[in-house]
Amino acid sequence: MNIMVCIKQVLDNASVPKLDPATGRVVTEGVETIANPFDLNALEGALRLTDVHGGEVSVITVGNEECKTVLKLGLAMGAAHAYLVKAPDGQEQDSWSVSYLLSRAITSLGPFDLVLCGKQAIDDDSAQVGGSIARLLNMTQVTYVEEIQEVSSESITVKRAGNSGSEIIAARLPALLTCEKSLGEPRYPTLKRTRMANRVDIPALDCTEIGADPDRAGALVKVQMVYAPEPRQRGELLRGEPEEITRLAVARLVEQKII
Amino acid sequence: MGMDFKLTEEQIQIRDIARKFAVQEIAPLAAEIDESSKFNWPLHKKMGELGLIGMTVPEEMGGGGLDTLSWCLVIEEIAKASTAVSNYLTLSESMLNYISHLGSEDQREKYLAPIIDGELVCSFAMTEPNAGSDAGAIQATAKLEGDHYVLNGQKMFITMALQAGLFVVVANVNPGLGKDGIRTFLVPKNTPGLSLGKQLDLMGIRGTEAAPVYLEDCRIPKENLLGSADGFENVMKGMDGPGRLGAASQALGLAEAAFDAAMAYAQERSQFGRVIYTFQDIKFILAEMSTEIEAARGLICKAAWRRDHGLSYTKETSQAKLFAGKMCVRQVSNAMQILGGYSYSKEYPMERFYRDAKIHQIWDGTDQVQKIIIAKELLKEMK
Repeated sequence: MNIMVCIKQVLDNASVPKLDPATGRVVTEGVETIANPFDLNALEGALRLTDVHGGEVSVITVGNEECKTVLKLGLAMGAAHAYLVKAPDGQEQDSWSVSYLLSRAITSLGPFDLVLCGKQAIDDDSAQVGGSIARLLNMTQVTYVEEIQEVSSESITVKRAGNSGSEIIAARLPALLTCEKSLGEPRYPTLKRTRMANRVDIPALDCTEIGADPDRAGALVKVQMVYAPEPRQRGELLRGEPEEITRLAVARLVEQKII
Repeated sequence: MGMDFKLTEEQIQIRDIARKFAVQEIAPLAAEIDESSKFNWPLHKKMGELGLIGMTVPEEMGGGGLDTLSWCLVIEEIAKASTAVSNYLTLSESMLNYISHLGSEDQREKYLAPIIDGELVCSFAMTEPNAGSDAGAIQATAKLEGDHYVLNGQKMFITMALQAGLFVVVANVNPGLGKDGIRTFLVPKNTPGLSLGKQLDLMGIRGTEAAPVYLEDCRIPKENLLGSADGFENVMKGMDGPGRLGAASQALGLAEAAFDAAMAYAQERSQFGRVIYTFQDIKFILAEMSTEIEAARGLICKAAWRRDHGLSYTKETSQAKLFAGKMCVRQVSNAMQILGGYSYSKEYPMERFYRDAKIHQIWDGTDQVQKIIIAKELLKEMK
């Protein structure tokens, strides 16, 4: 099996994001980053498949040189290849442009039997990139995959989280899966593989190398403003006899047009 | 730039792998390991898979080829979760150091890989009822008879003896020569004549399954002699590995675990209407704890750095071990003072920390032995 896993570098969820009032953006400088946790579940799922069926796992991300950190982690966990897709200078990225760049890169590096993504990134939670890549590659897609049940050279059977319960779906390969946490607790990177990953020269591919049109590789969504929600007001404590406070509470709710 | 206290990116990566493993895999089992006093094979094997065993063994021999400092960082992290488990690593690394330095090609071929993979535990059978740090006083004998050595003697306090598949046994080939007759031998567990005593019921580091080892006409092929027949120097050279720095790092990790618990508790606990951290007496204890922990770290890092740079590190290692061991006992006791009654209950880990602490002033050379070594090195420097 030849599997590509898409990984996004996100801000460490252990830190509380801060907003820069001047730019209206989340401050990224000096903040620790991690690999998007769902992407690591996807990688674990991919590695388990190749552990059993043979083949290779590759990892890919879109970003700058610093994003090589998540690719190195992918290599240290067991991926055989890693690729950085360089976003064109001066272009903002959104779900569309990242999907476009990844789909071009996957085409030029492929073929792959499977493309795996996390079900969503924990920073913008948009859950669009997986589906968009599948659409751009005209590939079968199954989202919110909880378990991979069977794989043959032509098809895959998975259990997915549907709206009204779990669904068992058989899909023709090549396919793209977006993965839930239950796909597998990411394995520890070994010390040897960590060192090996540090020594690997990870290729950084630009638009020309992956056959992408630089003019299409920018964001379609313009972010006007990012703001933090107002801090919640402290509630009001009503004291007194039950009958009296019930009357008061109802009056307040009517006042606030809640009932 | 004469001095640089920064860790390399790789050292940080390695430390973080160990930290995560310690928090997620070891810490939840630490109390159980202590209570049952059982060696935990699954953890040992997982540490082997991760590459935490044999970190300092050269890559061409199947080890990690890593620096001493990286190894010390790993031991510290593992010791924060469990002193016993960190000792699995320290002992294994010491024995690997012995075999990789002194072993013949055949011996290395046969034993390094299984120890590194976490499949085989190798114990060090040196200490005897009447000989510990004074290796010259060892009474076990190894008599050459044809193609075999015949070993006789009694070994005491042998850490992990009950799980070991292999022993590095220290014995004397000619008691008349005193310490010059000392040699080391590789003795597989199933060798007839080698038997194990009852597991020692230890105060701390429970889970290391220490026991006495008895040798009664235990015949081993003469190829099992470890190292050339260089005598006492052999033993000393073998001991000159990273093991003692590992012991110091274990003490450091344990003291840190106690500090972390005390620091958190001091900010949670209220008495007389205020958080106890605001009492000067409490915050002064914590300030002192953190200072001493940092001092121990400095000594350990310096000794490790000297070893990694091919400089002598005997004195520095003993200084680090001496200070870290004493510091650990002192600071775990201080942490208990802050936690009060909660530190004295077996429901919380602090009482285990206290029982685990004292060994650091005893094993791998007592404080007094470290002082002898330091003083000897000081005299050498004068000459």
